[in-house]
Amino acid sequence: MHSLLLFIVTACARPATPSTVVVRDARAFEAHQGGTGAAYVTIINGTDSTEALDSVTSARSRFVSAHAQRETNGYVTMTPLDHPTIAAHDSLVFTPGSDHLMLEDLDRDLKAGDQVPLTFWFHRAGPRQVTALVTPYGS
Amino acid sequence: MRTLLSCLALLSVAACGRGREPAPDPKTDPYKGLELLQPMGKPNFTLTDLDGHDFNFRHETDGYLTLLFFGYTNCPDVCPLHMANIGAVLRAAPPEVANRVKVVFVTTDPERDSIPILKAFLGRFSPQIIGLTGTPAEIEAAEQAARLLPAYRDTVNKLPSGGYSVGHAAQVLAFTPDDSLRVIYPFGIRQQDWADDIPKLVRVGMPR
Repeated sequence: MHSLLLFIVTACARPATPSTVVVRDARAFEAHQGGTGAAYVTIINGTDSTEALDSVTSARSRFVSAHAQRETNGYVTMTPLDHPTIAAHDSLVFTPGSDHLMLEDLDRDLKAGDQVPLTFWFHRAGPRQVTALVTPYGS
Repeated sequence: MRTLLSCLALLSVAACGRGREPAPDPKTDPYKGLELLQPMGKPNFTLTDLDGHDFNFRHETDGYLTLLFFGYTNCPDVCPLHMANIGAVLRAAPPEVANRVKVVFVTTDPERDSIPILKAFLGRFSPQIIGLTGTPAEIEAAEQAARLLPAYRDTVNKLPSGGYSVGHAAQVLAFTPDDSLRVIYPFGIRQQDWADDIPKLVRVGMPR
């Protein structure tokens, strides 16, 4: 009985977190061939060390880059995120209307229902492959 | 220039003042966007529409709720999100509302945004969106007429492709059917906010 109680207390006190680097919730919006698209993911660093995202690659886009997007004095501007770091047991979120992954020079139209392969190259953990589902903008 | 700065200051006062206040009371503040303290007139500028014809903004939108935005098609996030949110709300709106709205998208990147590219980009969101282009000087004049700071090509932060992004105004300007700029919709406005406000905005200036 004591063991069972201990298990329950432990389970409640410490939500399950991955003990490695995980990329999840990948999605992208519709875009045209040759144009620019956007993808969004959540990166969770479940390790005890700071992690850095060295690069992102995709078979659909010749150039994938991470950008911070901010509004300053009514202007919206983008700033490249160069090797963004994720502290131990922290996360980095790319979400519509904020930081995002820019997909330049798309090799085909991205239509709702399509899947975009993305490989995230981490400095310590190495590559992580995910597939982003394409949805219409605003969905 | 003094007039332009005065107008921008007024916009700033309205926006900043709202930001410090608690959540708006829907009984006293019906809009989800930022309502100007003092409505302003509709700008007068002429650009080129996607059929190659002159489009005088004030004349062509007279009497309509008009949503004006300056952006570009290689913009990966805020521009398509604004257009998609508005397009989705117009598709769901009853015709008596949707037919009284004009949405105008002016490119801030005329060099890359050819007419076919603009048509393909805007067509993805709504056939109701009117695309406009012009020379850089014409577009800058339109921005100034709309009391916005001019867009600029970001030559500092080069993209990996060697291309560039464009810094531009983040807001959608809402001109009510009485041809007054009354509400500004900032970056981050939600689709539901448009759904709440557009039916109210189309009634402004109508007889009770």
